[in-house]
Amino acid sequence: MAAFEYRQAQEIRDAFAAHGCRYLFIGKSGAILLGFPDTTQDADLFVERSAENGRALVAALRDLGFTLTEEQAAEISRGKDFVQLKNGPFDLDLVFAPDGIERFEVAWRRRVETEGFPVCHLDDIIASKQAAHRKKDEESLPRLISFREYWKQHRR
Amino acid sequence: MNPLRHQRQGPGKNPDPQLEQRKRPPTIAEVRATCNLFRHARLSYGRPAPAQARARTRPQNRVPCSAAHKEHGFRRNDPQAAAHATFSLTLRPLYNAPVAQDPEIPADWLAEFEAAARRPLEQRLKYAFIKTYKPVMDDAPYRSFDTMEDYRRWCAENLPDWLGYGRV
Repeated sequence: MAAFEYRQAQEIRDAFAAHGCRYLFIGKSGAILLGFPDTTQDADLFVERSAENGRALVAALRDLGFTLTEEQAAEISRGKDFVQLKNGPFDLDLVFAPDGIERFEVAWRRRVETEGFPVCHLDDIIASKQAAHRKKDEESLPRLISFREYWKQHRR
Repeated sequence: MNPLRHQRQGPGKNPDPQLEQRKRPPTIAEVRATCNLFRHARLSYGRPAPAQARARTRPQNRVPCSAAHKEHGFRRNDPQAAAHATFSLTLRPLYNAPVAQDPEIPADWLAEFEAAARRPLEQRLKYAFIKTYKPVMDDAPYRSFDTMEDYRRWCAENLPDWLGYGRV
């Protein structure tokens, strides 16, 4: 499978908007959308957990070309904490309860929009990485925290 | 139009957008470029001028002002004069500008952040997303976990340590 592309990010944005699905880019992919120069392998989405949003999410994923069985669709619709999709045109991680963020609504209020992409605030992205305590995050966190300082100074 | 003349008119009256732009703090790349220019100028001026240049400055050899000279403040084909003008226009405003660098951000990271900020989003994503095979992780088309704790535990128990998904 090829790397995730800008065109696919646009497809996510458009498909999710068409179905009225509430979500935020999170993780390193979210930071990259905000200008963080680094590399990553897949896109992570923080999705609001609600019955209505779950149905919209499944419909949007199917529009994007993800092959979901009824059982998988039910799990996604129900909002399991973490779903990893590698059965579509690109890899996608769905997170319904990221570490370090209390509720979706809080993150939604603080979101940053860039070219129509809804992205978690860098404070939330950093909080979730700090709470995860993963080795790979520990290595990238100092640079991400420095970027937050830069981003806050230069944000337009 | 002589840009130096307009620079002297003071803020708010300057019609030249390039000069207006110089009021902002310089970027790292601009400072580096200016330092290179200054170093080059210092090396050039530290040596005696070539005989041809000395001869050109003698009163009897001076070239009368041309229309281009009046317009640009220096002759187009005189690199030394051009360097003077560039120095005046580029370096002097930079000396007076506030320093933008945050001491808490390492200089190499700052340079990377600024370079990324100049790229359009499409290009940033093109550079950012890569694809390499991750053993175990990429071997199933679908996985789901009831809790994040379940996911973290699965990563710790199943993924190779070098992938970095284990907890610190």
